Amino acid sequence: MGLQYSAVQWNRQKRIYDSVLAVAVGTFLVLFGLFTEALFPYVTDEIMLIRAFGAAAFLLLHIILCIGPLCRLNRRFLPLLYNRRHAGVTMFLLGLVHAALVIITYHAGGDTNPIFSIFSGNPITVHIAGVPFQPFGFFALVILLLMAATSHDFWLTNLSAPVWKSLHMLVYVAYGLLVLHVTFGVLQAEVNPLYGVAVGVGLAAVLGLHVTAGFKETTTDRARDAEANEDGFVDACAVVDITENRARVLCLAGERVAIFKFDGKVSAISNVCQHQNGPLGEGKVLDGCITCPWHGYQYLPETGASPPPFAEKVPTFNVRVKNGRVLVHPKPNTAGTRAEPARIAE
Amino acid sequence: MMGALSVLLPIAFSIGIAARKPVPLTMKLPHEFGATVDAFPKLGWSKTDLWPGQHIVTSLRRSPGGSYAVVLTAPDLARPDVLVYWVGGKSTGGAEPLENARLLGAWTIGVPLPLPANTINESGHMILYSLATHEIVASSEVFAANKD
Repeated sequence: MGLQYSAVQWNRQKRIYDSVLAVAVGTFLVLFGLFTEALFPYVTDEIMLIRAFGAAAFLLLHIILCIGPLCRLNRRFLPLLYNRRHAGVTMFLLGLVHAALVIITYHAGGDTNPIFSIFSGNPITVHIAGVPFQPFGFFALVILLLMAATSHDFWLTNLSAPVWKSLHMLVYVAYGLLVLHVTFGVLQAEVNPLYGVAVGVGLAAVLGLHVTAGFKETTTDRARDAEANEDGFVDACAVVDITENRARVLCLAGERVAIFKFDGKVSAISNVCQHQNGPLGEGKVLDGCITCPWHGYQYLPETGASPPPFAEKVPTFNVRVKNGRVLVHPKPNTAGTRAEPARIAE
Repeated sequence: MMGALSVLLPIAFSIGIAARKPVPLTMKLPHEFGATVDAFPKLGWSKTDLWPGQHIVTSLRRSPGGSYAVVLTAPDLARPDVLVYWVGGKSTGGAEPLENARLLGAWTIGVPLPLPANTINESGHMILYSLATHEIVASSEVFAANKD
């Protein structure tokens, strides 16, 4: 979180993340060039560069898309999530170089406007394999451009979180377009099964991880609520089931609630971080604040509000502790409303 | 959205791969394109060792009118936009064809490349030059059309 907008708030983790990213991308490009030179010496430098940057962008997009579900399945992958947006912008830049080289090589030498030529260069034929593949890449790049341009928290704040998130969910549309771009593009000419298998494996990995993570999450959401008592409170869990300074997450009336235990007290807030919908219940209490594991946004457990001068707020839930059990009222309080923590009896 | 992609993308990918056409490959141009071997029916000689380090079969053919043509066959040579030049004398090892190099034509497997009349009695060598990569692909040994 920042008091004023700056391009990048550098810290040690971001520097390490970006350094690894830069080295990995550079190494991939160099290795791609060397392998192309060795295995396909007749390929011109222009073609090699087009394929190198395109392959790098496509591979990086697969990695980026796998980070989210991997973090849902195993918390060890959380460090990859922290600076994922830098990887996204890098991926867009690689794609942009690929597109620029394609336009210069194939579309800029004639009388036709190069951008118009992308759409007119492949006339639609009756054969499936004649599907024009370049427009798929064009529209994918447009989506990635919008995402890269709005990746900063400035846009998250000014567009509002729901709008920003909806825009960035278009990455899946971009991914679909790029799979079509590759399938009906380079894979039509490169008939070596290795290339088709590689794309198929990538597709299976992305879809498989998302489906697996989705099943894991819906298991939590579909667990039946316990019956409410006469006050409307629901028996959530035993106090001992909650680790100190950590939370237990459960679904109440369709909403995920994070119940934190700290300093001999219990508080319950919404599990959804106001920043980018991170899982607050997977975070911990640091310096008296519930800290989101994704990007470190913090909330006071008593009010669900970020400590001043920050303004983010999440809904709170009324809690009680009775006979070693945590009782939670499923109706959320308005975001930022104080809900007195329940003391754990000695 | 993920549900729709999980169904549609694998289907589209499978269709795209299954509907691929085989890449057209031909070892010989149809006779409608360029000179044909029929115009040079008599085989003078055929050598497999004229190009050091390359598996290129060179045939010298002769027409009834006395003109000569070379036919180059190289199944392993995959270079873009290859031109064939004739250069008098020995190879000098330069990176570019000499100014006195005579262009015989674009190299295509099985298509005869007529030799200029004034080179028949001259010793010289051939150069394969890639117009796409601007480099000499191969240089032959010295030979003379009517002496070997």
